[in-house]
Amino acid sequence: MSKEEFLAAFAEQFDETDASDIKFDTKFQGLEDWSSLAAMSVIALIRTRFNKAVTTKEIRSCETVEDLFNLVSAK
Amino acid sequence: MLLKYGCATLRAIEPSDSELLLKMMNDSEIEMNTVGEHAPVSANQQNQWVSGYKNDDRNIRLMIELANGKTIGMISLTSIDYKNGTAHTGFKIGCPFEDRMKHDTFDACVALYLYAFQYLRLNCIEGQTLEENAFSLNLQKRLGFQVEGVLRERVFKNGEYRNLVSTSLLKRDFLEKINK
Repeated sequence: MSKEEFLAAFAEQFDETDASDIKFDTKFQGLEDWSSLAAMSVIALIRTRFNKAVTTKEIRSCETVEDLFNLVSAK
Repeated sequence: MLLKYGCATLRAIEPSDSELLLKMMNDSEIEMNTVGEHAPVSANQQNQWVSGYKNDDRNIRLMIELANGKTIGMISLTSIDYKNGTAHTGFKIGCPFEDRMKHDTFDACVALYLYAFQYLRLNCIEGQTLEENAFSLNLQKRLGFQVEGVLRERVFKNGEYRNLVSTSLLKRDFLEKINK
């Protein structure tokens, strides 16, 4: 899984935020359409496309997209 | 009258909702991210609560049913004050990801708040949310809620005092937001 692949897939989970506005240093929990549904979509994405398991609690502990990428990579 | 907006329909609580309500009551993840706290609830206690519950002038609790036929949670207006036109709001979602639909909680809130502002003639809906609950605070922002202040160390959860964000939604802000 490349970093860029992860970023693109992550950005696809948002309805309102333009994908180009989501960068590695984006504090995603502050995005207006970061919702419980978006979080569940991200968990499902990580499970199906990257074959890793993360919990809502772990996602909450990440500040930026890069933090999340590092979390997934370390699994 | 059923309340509808987008993919959400709000309906009265039925005996068949006991299972979902019980699951939400005993869910530790929900407990950690909401203000209330309670001892474990048994199926029997939950059934008794459901059979005895009736919406009234002061408190309205409704189930959120989606266009896909799935019931995903409950939403409420409580402590309704007709003189000042105020009420508190809250919601809980406790279903699997597969049951959810895009904008489901947003649509459920809009359905309830349209009812609150246009039929009950309320003017202000108040919320209280744990500071760490970004999901709920973001949703409130999308609906037009404004933060009124932070109640410092007001809730004791998981061994520590946590801040509570006090928010409110005025009728005029809400109508402006959803009519955009």
